[in-house]
Amino acid sequence: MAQTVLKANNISIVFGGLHAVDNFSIEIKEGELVGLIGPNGAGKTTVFNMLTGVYVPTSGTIELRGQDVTKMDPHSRVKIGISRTFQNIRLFKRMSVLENVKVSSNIHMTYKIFDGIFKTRKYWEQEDKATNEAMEILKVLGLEEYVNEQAQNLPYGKQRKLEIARALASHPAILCLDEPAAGMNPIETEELMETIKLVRDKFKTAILLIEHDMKLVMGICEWIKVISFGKEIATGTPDEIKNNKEVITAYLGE
Amino acid sequence: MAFKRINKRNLISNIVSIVLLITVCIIVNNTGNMQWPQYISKILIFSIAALALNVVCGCLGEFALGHGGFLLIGYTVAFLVGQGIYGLIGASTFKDLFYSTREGLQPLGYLLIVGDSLIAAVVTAIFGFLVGVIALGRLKGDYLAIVTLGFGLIFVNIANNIDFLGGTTGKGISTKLAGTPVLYAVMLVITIFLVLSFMKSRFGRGILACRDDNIASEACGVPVKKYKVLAFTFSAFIAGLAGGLYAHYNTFAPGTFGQDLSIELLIIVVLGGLGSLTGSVIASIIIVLYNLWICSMGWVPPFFKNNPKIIYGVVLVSIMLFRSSGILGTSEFSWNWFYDKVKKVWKKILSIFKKKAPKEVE
Repeated sequence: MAQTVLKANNISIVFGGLHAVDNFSIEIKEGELVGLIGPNGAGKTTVFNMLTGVYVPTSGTIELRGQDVTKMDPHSRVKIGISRTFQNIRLFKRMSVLENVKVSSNIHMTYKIFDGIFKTRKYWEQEDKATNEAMEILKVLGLEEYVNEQAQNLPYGKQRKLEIARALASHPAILCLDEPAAGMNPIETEELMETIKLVRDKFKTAILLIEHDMKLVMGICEWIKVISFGKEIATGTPDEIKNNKEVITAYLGE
Repeated sequence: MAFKRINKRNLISNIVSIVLLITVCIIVNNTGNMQWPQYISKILIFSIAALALNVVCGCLGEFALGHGGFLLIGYTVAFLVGQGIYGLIGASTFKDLFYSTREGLQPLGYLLIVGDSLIAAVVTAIFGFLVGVIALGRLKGDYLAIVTLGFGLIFVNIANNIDFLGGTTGKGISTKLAGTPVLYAVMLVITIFLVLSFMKSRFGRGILACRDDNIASEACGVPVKKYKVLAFTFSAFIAGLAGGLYAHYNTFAPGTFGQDLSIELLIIVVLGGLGSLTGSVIASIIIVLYNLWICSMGWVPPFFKNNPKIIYGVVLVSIMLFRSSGILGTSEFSWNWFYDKVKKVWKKILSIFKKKAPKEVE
């Protein structure tokens, strides 16, 4: 039996009088590739923000690798093993590609300010390890030729990949991708599908992704959850979801 | 390793430039000219102060308008430590131990300046930490700028109201040691090393990440608030060091550490390029020289006899219009870059000659 990585029990969040997400539950096991879909404004990104700690849910609990993280800061959750990308790319624009990835390695480094300033052996050991790891990840994602380029100068598709690379450098048990294919053409999307599969197999991480591109979601996800107006309406394999009446109603109307 | 740790050419050039800087300081100190050692000292101290501000404004990307206040704290602490020692051992022993002779300071005098500057730096860092915790935890952007401005005003006004410190008119310091440019040059080199090295560590990387995107940094496991306070504390440490060194340069008047100084430092940082530490040094040479030299040499632009600072404004406006990223932008000055530039220019000159040659034949 694969272990549960992420578990959300009946999480809800209320903004003013609006129930943005209502009683949402999900359980993701090691190495699973899960999709979260729903019409615009259904609350998908809000769910993501609760899982990664940007919002604290009004009620319900979130467990990450068996630990209760409901009220934990986003940066502490990263240490336990969750990382994410953003719908609108949020790279460290003025830093190099390598530095971008290494920012995520910071949580695995333990050297103190003194080591940092006087470049002790501990500093070089940890920095070298992080650099090598970052290079490996960049190689897998096909970004090794851009290592010293400023992040803002990369083409759009590569920036998306760099976000994934950065998220991977913290060794997450689960990786949350928020609309990774947004703004991509069909060829780039296809390439991205391959990348996501490769990432899952190579880094042994579970993946939860929000996506509007049905071809991508149906093509790679093992199972899918559908929400509409903050409420969960269906769970199942891609084929089950395709034929679910409620889902079709939610997307197309009666 | 895929990355070279030390570039030999760069290292040698850096050592040569440090040696050159110190030689210049020694020569200037021994020419007998009274003005130039003072000018150079002020440039060097301002460079250190500008580096401090650059950590917050350039690297962390938050505007702080109260660094004059931190310099003041450093100054006060160094002053009090000096006075304390003066009171303990008495005037004549103090003179014997530390005081500058014609040839320069006594060795112990150097030690005293460095020592009480370091104490000043540590105390200022504590104040910086407190201000950081209060201000940075909740605020950013314009709001933070105003709050730091407020803190600067608080520090200056408290010092102004303590009669012991000389009030608004200031106080000549009996313990003033008149540090030499060489000492300040060494301190500047150490500071540049400290800041550059700090920014190359995981802490610096986290701080740069906070500058570019708070939300993404948090999502990458960078504790944003903690790193912001860290940057602020580090910046206050360096500012305190500058203040402590300033105590042995100038007469104490708390009023001179007001907004004027804070703004002047900000101008230096922006002029040199936000995030470029070497740019700050270059800019403080320009600004301090302008303020000290041109104004005191009596050269004033025509029609603006009463306030020669007009050029100041013109320079700022034109730099912001035509090169808004400052003199060096975000990049650092490095000798490799300099050599490459020289090589390019040299090749261009050569190619012009080569092109011209066949034309003459025709």
